[in-house]
Amino acid sequence: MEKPRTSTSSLNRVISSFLREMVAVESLEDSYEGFVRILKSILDFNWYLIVLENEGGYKVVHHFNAPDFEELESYVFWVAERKSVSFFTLENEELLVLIPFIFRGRVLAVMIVGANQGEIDVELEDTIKIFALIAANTLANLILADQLKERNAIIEESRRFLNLLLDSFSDQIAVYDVERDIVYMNEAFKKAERSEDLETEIAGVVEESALRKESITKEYEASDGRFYSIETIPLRLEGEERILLIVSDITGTKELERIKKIDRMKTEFVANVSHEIRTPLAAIKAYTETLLYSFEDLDSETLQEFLDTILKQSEHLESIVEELLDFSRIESGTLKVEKEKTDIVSLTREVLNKLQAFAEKNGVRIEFESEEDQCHVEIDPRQFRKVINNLVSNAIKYSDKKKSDRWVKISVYPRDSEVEIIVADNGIGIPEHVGDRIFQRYYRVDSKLTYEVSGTGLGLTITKEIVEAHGGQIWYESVEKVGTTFHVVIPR
Amino acid sequence: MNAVDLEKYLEGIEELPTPNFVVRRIIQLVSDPNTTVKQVQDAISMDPSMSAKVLKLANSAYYALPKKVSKLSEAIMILGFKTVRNLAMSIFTKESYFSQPIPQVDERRLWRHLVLTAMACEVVSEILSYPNKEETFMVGLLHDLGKIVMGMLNPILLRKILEYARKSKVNFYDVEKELPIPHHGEMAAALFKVWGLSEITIESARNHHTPHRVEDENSRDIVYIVHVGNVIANIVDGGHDFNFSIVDIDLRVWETLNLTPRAFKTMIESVKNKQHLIEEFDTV
Repeated sequence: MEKPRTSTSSLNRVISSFLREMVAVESLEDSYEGFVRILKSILDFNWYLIVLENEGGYKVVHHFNAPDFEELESYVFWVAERKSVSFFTLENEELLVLIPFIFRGRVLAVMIVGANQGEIDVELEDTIKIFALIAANTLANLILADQLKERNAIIEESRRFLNLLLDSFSDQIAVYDVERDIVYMNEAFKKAERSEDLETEIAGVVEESALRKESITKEYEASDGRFYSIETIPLRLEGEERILLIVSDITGTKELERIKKIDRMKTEFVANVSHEIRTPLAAIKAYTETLLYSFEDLDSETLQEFLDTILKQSEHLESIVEELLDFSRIESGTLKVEKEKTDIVSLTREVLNKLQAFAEKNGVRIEFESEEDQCHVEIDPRQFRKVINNLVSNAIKYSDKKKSDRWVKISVYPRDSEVEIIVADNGIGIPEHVGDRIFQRYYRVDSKLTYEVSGTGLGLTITKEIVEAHGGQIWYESVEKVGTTFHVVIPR
Repeated sequence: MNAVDLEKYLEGIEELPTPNFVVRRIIQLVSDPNTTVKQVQDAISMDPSMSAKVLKLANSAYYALPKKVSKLSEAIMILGFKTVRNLAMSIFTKESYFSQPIPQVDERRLWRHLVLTAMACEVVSEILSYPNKEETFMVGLLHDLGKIVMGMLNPILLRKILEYARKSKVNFYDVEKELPIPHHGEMAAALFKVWGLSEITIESARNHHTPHRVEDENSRDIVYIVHVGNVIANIVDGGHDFNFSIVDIDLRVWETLNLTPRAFKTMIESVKNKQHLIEEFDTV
């Protein structure tokens, strides 16, 4: 047997016409006409018919001058089984050429032509076989392209739906790639105005989540006063690492939490204040009743003592009511400051004198120092007296019973443009975690202490408000069990 | 086996039946692009027995033609030049190599294996879109002829190998390759050289168990397809080719042909569906 000789000229013809014809083909329909023209270059035929495999049967997709498909059906089914190019001579001497297009063992289509040729040779058979092979490949690719188009349309549709869904969320959603560039953002993310510090915070959380390959959930109070929940989830999409970010505005939830807390504090406050008022009231009532029913029995010394107590308790009651009034003024924003030229040194001495008895009763030594004998400042003396009073009486109230030497030192430092008043004590101190909450309304450090130490929990709130109403500042340093130092600075 | 024995062996091969003039003429004609149907018809007609058998096969259930064929020219047109050549080749091989019984060897079972492998090769070609499926049919049909050659030249050796393989539950080739003699693939290769068959046919016979040895790009695909066809024939209807263990597929063949489990399963199922048609080739 000789080495098979392939007829290169007709093979070349088939391949080059395929290249020429198929460049312009974009759809399945375009291709049929192309197949016909290519076959024309190797075979002379009068009619043709192309059928496409369709759910186990065949449907005619392209034809010219052809007999009814029913007449050819048995040939088509046979050649689809045989899977090889075949020639039949018909009764009218016409040559019936059956060309199955087979791809991966599957018959995709069959082309049937009626040719004039009487004689066929090996070359023609081989060339048509090659034609069938290339045509089948082309057809398979076109069918695949059509299916891809359909599938893409479905994918596009579901993508649109998903986008619609994501865009309807009020949460801001974005996806970052490995370069930390945003590859997706929903409508809420696009539209939201994020403050610079929030952007920085988000970038930090995304970075951290990417590095640790962990989900992170964080709450953040932005400089615009709103609260945000920042949530990141590392994902693998299309084989690449991505970070999903969800930013939700939780200010509403936070506000609700805050209101609930205030409400709780208010309830506690009412109970607390009622207790505070009842104590002096009960004393006043008891002494007054004794006076009423046993007036004749009492000597003048005892009488004096009783009346002193009643006066003291009334003054205490007055101070509580005064505090409540101040507080309600602060709440309603009607706290008025009537400034007049006042000597703050003598004002302080005056307050300290009044507290001397209270201090002695608690075993606390009061020390006072001032760099100058007089220091005139534009302040409201009535209000400012409360500032000194509150700070010093707190220092006495929260003195450390475990220490034998208990003191509170008040210093006044006049400077060019301001005056600093320092109230330092060696009391029990304020725990570090309390921070600025000490100035919050109703706030009292330790509920255990509230039974031992009287107070409305409004003192420091009022103090701070008054200082600030004077354009001043108040802050403190404290070490637990060592002591506390309050600083008040007011402009001159 | 020393050099003298080997030479004696090859001398023996030259004395085995070779294709007669008609078969040689058909083979030669089909490899010429300018050959017409009439020329092939004239060639076959010179052997009336061959003509009858070709027509019988063409009208057999294997081809299930839509209409009965009574003229050789029609059979050639409908089935194609190469298929007709394959029929002539089958007829010659069956008559010359499978008509003499070999003691203790069931050569009819080997014939079944050859026909099934030939069918499997066509199926594999179709699924892999290999253009020359008729060529793979012929190569598949001839691939194990070396076993018969061994039986004709040295029946004792064949029997010994068979006994050993059966007892140890291994394959024919596993025993052969341990022996200092040319294995059945090499014997077939030597025979086909004498017949003057194409290099591709010779290579396929020689290396169907050792496909990785094929270096020539032109023969590689067809050798690989015969290798797969042989494996599938063994899966569908094993044991006829004196193998007593699983016939493995070569990993390189699997990868080079881009086979997938799904494609492989499809191939096995298609061959199973054609299995009952083996007998159609017995009648020749």
